[in-house]
Amino acid sequence: MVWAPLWETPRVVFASLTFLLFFLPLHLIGYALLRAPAARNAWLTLSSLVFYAWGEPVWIVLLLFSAAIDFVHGLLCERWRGSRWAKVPLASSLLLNLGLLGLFKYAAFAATTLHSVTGLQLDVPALSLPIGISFYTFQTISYVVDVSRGQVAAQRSWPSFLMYVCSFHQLVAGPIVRYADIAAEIDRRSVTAADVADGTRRFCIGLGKKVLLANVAGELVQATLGATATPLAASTAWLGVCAFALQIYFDFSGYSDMAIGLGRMVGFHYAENFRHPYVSQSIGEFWRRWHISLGRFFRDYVYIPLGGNRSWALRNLLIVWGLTGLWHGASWNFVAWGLYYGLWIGLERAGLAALLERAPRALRHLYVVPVLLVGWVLFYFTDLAQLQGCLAAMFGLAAPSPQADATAARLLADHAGWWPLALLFCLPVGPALARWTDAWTDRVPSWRRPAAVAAALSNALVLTAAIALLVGRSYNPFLYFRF
Amino acid sequence: MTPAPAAPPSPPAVAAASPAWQALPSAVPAALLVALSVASLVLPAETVSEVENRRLAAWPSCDRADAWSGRCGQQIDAYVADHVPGREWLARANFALRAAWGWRRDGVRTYEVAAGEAGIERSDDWAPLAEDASEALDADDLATFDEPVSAASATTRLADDDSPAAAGEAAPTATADRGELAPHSTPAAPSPAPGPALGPAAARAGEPVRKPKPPPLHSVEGILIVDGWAIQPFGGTAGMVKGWTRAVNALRATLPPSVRVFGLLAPSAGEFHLPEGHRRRVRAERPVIEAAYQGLAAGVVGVDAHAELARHAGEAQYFRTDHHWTARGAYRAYAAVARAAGVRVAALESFRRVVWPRYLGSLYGLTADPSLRERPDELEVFVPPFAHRAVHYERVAPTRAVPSRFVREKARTYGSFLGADFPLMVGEVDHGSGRRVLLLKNSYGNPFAVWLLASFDKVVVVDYRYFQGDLGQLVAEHAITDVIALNGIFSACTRYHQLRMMTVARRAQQGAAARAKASLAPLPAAATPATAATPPL
Repeated sequence: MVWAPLWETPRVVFASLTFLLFFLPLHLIGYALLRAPAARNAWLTLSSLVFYAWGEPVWIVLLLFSAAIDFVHGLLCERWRGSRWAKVPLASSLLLNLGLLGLFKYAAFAATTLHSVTGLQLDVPALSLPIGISFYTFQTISYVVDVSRGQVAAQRSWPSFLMYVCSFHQLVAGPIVRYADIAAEIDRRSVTAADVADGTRRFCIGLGKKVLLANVAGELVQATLGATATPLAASTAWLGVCAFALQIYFDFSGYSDMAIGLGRMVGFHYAENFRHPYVSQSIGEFWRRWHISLGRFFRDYVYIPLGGNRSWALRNLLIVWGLTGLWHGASWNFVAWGLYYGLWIGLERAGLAALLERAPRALRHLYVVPVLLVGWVLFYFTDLAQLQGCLAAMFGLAAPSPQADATAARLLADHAGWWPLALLFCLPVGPALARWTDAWTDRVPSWRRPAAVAAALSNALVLTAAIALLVGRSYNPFLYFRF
Repeated sequence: MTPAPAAPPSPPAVAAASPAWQALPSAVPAALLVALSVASLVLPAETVSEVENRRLAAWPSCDRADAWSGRCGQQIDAYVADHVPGREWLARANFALRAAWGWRRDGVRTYEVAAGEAGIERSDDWAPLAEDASEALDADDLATFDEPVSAASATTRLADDDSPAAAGEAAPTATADRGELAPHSTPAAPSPAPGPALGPAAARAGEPVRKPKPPPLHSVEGILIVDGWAIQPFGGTAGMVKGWTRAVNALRATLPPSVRVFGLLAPSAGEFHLPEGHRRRVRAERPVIEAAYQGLAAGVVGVDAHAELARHAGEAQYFRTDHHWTARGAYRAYAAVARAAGVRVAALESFRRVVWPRYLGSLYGLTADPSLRERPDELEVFVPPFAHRAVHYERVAPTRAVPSRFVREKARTYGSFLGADFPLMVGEVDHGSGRRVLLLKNSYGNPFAVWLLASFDKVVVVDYRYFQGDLGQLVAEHAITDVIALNGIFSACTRYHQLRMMTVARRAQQGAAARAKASLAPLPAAATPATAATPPL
């Protein structure tokens, strides 16, 4: 099984030559030339719609429809708050949003499951998955719920609301931006040179993570877990799973970094979505560092309304984690993946965490890492036989496969410089370096210019390397001339 | 006492407060992006990439359907990707970066090349397969594998314990002298007893037997760059080449006994030019060639090109930067075939030699390795001293003869030999030898075909990857006296190539059956194949 990104991959992605060379410069130049906030918002909206339409223009209709119904529902929630109709727009919004998500993402899955359990054959229309639907439906759901709870005032301007929903920064790959987090910045935001510099730095970091780390990790995954014609050796299986763990982290966090960077360049301050999750010392901590916006969503809108840990805690935990898994993909392995983590978190709450507190830090990491890696195996393989095969290989149970073969050694040697770099960037080196630089330049102001030069050069270097690797991916040699 | 005057205030901290310096970290990358985008709009667009051997994407003309479906966006993306300014430099930077972060051992660089079903070749525009070609190849595969079925596919990996010694094969000795393969013109070997329907593994009680996915022969470790050579490491086995033997036998079965059939497997550059210290990375090719020839049916002569090439291993018989052999290497194989066929062997020197320096071939295109670029190949083209007439038939118009030439001395690429991979070419020379040959080949046969003009009155060249006609009819129409099935060892061990060859044989069989039915004449008596499974007509 070739793992596809868990979000619906658009044609214009941040890590593409079209985006870097044309879309982004045009967008930023246009934004800078416009001065009025309304004009800038309109430009951002227009750019976002072009970005979204690049892949499949037809689904713009769905995006606009989804935004429109939640714009109206938000107003109704505010108008009817406290009345006996208060819950009606909320229920209606949930029904429509989840209904759309269910139709496009889960209908085929549900039909297949129903057929395998009951034998009932349902004709489900073969619909392609609209880009970003998992993100923007959750974003608009969070908006309507927050308005109905009175936590935020409804947005009365349709253009402003549309900009919030369809902003290309986070539309297709997150983070799930809460309206409350950026409400004040929608109509009033300022951008300084330092903001743009920080945003640029963050964008370049994300681009580097995606192109230099995630894409390369993806090739390693293909060479190991993707080579299904041959049985996996144990060493290759472990290497492949480690590569996948790196791929998914750098891919996802890279996109989040780019989104946060792009937002910063125009004055938005999106919340962090990843906080170096691989330094975690427990599974609970991991999920407080991984895809933070999704975790917050399920906590605030599912777990706590169900009762949280006050009543039926285990049930609530399993529901939330089952849904978390299901959100990631319409396949039972994702549900199993979610429940897997639900169980570990349940165990930690039941006493494992207390035990771990008394253990040395290294032991806590030794506990977390294999749990995560096994979890990624559940995530990667949608085919049960392949999943079992990989797990068996990892734990030496897949005779007559060898325990080690030349593949793992070769891939390690051929990427001997890449692996340490990838592992290093799992650690919070970026923030540490930034803090150190800031502290140093505060103490020695004369270093600020060299620091600015160094930042400029490193951004340019990452950008050049990323463009080179993107060109390399488009490199398409033929053995004979193609006329 | 007068107090000392106050020290003048120190100059304000510069740089940090200055917006210009604050903007620098974003201005530099922004300038880079803007410069690249402006340059891509302003500079004249390249149309061809010589390194990639293809035309670069043109600006798309999109209609409403394209725009609505997203195809237009994809086409624009392809255009942008193909026209980034400095693309060649950036591509080299990409390869250099990838090479730099690996740990180079023993002076060897390895490039992982994504290989498909057809090895490193692209097969998306090949002729469709015959439906039963796969069954014909599978018929005996499972009965004659030595290894258990489930482990068969593991042999594509050259694991530490998969060295030739561990596999029981004789370790290769000196590269220059490998002895002779036994000249092959054997009487019909006794058919092996048909094994269990699903192979030896079926004998193990209760063990599920899985029909293995055909193991693709791909570069085991990628393409090796060593000592200025780009070498595909060979990982084929006697089991993997059986499909080639079976396809050639099927061909034999469909041709009249008056037509002589020759099988020729050409070893690759790695057999002779991989330094001794690195031979642990590959399998020996000669035993695989021998195993292939041993399975050939009566009436098929296995030609020992390996010995001929080994005797002249010091010559430029292989490209360093391309996966093919040179015209000089093809000559040695031609000489071996000509002697086996009993036709005149032209002297190498009788052809006019044209040399093009700085040829960078397919393996450079796949790796962009700097050491290959620094030592490019010389492309030798040997032009026949006699006139010849030739036509070719193109894929899009398979019945229209187009005037052609077997040698294009100014092409400066591998296209010097035959021009391109046409499904069918016919060349004629007035030798008066009375011998007419049909060459069934892939790209490896291109320089080889040129030499055949020196010994045969007519040379019919069929590229099995693209040919969709009836080979038997061709043989009859052109009064072919000799058929040569030529493969490089890699393609011979690649199932996708084997299926294509079998498809050609199947179509010939079907054509013969149709003709026989039409004429109500008995089918030509075919030679009995040695293997148990005779492909049914």
